[in-house]
Amino acid sequence: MKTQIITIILSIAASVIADAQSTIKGSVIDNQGEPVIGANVYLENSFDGTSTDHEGLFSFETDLSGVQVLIISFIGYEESKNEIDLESPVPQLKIKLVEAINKIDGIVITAGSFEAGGEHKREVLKELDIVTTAGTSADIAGALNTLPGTQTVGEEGRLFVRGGSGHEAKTFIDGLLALEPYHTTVPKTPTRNRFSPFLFSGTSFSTGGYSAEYGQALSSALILTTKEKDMQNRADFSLLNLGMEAGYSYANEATSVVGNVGYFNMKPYFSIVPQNIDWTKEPESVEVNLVLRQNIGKTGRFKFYSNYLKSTSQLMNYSIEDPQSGSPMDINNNYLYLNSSFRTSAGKTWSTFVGASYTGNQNRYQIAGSPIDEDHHGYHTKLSFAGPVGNNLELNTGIEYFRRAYSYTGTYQNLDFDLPFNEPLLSMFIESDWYVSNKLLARAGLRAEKSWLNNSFRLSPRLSLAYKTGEKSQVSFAFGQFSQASENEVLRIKPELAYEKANHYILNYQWMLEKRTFRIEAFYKQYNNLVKYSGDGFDPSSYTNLGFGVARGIDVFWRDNKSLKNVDYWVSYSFLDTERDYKNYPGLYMPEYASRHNLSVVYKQFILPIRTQIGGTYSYGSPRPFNDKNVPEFNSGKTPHYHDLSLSLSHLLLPNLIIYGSMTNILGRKNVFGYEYGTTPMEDGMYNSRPIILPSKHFYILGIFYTISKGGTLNQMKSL
Amino acid sequence: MKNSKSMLVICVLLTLSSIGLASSPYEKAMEQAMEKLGQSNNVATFNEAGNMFDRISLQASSEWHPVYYSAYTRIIMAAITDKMDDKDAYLDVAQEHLDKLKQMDHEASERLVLEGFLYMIRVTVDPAARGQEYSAKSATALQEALALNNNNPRAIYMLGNMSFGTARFFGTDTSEACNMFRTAIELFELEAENKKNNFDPSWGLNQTQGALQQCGG
Repeated sequence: MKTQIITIILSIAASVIADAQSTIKGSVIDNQGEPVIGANVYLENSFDGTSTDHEGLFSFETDLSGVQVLIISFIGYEESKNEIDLESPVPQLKIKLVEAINKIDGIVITAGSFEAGGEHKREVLKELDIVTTAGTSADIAGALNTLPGTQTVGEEGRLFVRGGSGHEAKTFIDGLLALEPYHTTVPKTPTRNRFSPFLFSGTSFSTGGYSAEYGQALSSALILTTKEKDMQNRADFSLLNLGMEAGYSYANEATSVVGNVGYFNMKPYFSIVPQNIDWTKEPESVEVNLVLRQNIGKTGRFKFYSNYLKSTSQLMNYSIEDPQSGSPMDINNNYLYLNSSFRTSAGKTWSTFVGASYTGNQNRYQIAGSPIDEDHHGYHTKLSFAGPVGNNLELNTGIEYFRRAYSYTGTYQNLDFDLPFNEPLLSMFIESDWYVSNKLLARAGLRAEKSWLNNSFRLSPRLSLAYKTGEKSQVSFAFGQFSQASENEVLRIKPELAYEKANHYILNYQWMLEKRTFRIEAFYKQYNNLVKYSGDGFDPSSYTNLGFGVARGIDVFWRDNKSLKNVDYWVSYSFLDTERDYKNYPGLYMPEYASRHNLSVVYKQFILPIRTQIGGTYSYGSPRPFNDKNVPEFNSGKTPHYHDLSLSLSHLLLPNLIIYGSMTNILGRKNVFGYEYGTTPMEDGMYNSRPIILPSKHFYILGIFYTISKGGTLNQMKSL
Repeated sequence: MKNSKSMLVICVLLTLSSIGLASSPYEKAMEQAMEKLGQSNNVATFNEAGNMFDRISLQASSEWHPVYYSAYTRIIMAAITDKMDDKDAYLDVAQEHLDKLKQMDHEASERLVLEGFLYMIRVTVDPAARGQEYSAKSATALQEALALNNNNPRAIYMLGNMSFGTARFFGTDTSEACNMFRTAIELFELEAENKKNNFDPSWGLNQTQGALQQCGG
């Protein structure tokens, strides 16, 4: 009896085990038929499963029976679900995984675009690069000028992109326009971008063919994003040979505030480093920045950014005809920029953006006692929506309204003038990103603009394609139509002029492996509707939109942060062939800001044992044309070649104390950017001239940067 | 008839007792996965262990341990892989698991240690660009971990590691960091003696001993 029971129990147990156990075997491959190694293979609703081996094979046993679902999952692939029937022996399975479309690290449109930001590998330039590139003095425009597609125009300091003049590049902050993004300076001396690179986590610099979300820029859009990620609470202080700054950051989960105040005075510096400008009151300025971020609800984020600046200066202005006779010139500037926006976070659902920006700029000049006031105020409001339509299509659409008012009033040579204009502009855009496959991305956009300045309506199509030619390489193409109001100096004379137009065609190849990048880009750009006038431009009736032009060229970029330890360097070369018939040109000529060849080499090395980063930047520009009034041919003068080698050094003295020093033009070269000529000829019938050069051969910066943060210094762990 | 009845009772009893003696399917699966984890020494084997924890957490959705180890294995994979391009992908997966963990009833101090660890590995992908932000984030997470549990040896070890690196870099005294390693080792021993749950995190002793060797004497 006993043995009988045991036998029965055993047989029951055995039958339970033997009956239900089945083996599931197979292999997992990808689109190309290559084995997928390490994929998770398991049955839904059970612990049973395994991982694929180095040949993509799997085999496991299960106690389950009936129809079950076999799931295969792996990073970068769509999850695969397969029904299998365990009642009968399971045949050898062969499962193909489909690559998930990766919108973050996958394919991107690189034609005409440079991204600089914190995180992603695909970005060519890092946020930090803007601060640490020698010779740029933490100026955003200065750093971008080491990229291909730009050219050094030493006496301006603005961005000049692919044959476009300085006003053809617009600046946007968190998607909203910032007017007058450069400091007001003495004419023919370099300016800087107003916005401190330290407050932005992302910089997208377009050298053409940019998105339909942006408009009113013929050459380039510089899109800055204020910092998203919250840092620790900290206080920062810096003391420079040019002034001082103090900042404080506070952050908790939902809120963050960053504020800083700066005071700059050039008097001590100019008393040590002589300038060839006769200052009677050296430039002095106060600047305040405030950034606020507040999370609202689960996905909402409110951002506010503001920048305020007040600067004053006075110098002696000497006439070209009589270099001994000078008269005082006052240059004062008040600037206020406000930007606020609310965005619900993107992702699998639609996101909403609503924002507004305001710029107010006042330039107050006094020229030989006569006041000239230049006021420029404007706002930009925007409502946009972005989100997926189906699996592979993303849509971005919005409506914007801009309004700006400009006025130029004063007295010049006893003549009163008042030159105002108003530009109301309504625009709408729609753009879709279509991920045709993991290899092909197509972006098509359309921008509509209605302007009441010149009563025009215009549709501007944009189109880009990117195709991945390999793991590390891709080809992109971009086409776009762009239009922009003329410079203020032109519009104030004849506001109803039509918008200037440009068509861009860009072909780009990019190769990227770990920390090395190679890019080559060819472009062709047609200009139409450019403003033409005759003589000195005082006669409004001579203004027409009959000007035109062309720019074509090749840009090459190489960056290597890998081959040499702790060394990062990049080389940019741009070839530019451009001609225009605009302004008072007597025909098609190369404009005076253009040079055919531009080269930049940027080198950075961190020397660990002495905790010091050294940096060097070499820039070259081939001769630029200038109009020599003493010869009959137009724009026939040629400047000498431009060379500059700048060095910088930052030393980490303590974990929270940095010493910084930089010097431009180490080689002491006298760079001439062109010549200014007198308005009336001298007795011999010739015009007097004066070279356009920098105010001094070298520019030095010396400073210390000190940070106080709670818990930031890890050595405060004594409490243990 | 009587016989068959008693047989049935015995059968049921036997079956029940066998279930009672053997651990639950969850525990059995966890034991296997922990064993796999213990044997893992390269990206492939850590991935296999990670896959096992992933499978377990799909079934035992209220248990925090498998989610914790799903994250842990991916961080280790990111730390040891020599393919720079893979590191962020592994860490993104780990971050998803940590986010999931945060929503569960779990040991917050241990999650914060992993968060600090994850940020530390994020730094290694691009020290120049990420150093400042992620080092600060890592330090914050680890200090929070310590604040929640003063005796968490992994938090102390990790903070000691940071402190050691900073001291080395600035050529200052490393003795404080070394003392942290010693404190951590004592706490590891204490932890091993008072273990409540076999699946609770217990890793870090070997690493701490290795780190202490750098201190010499």
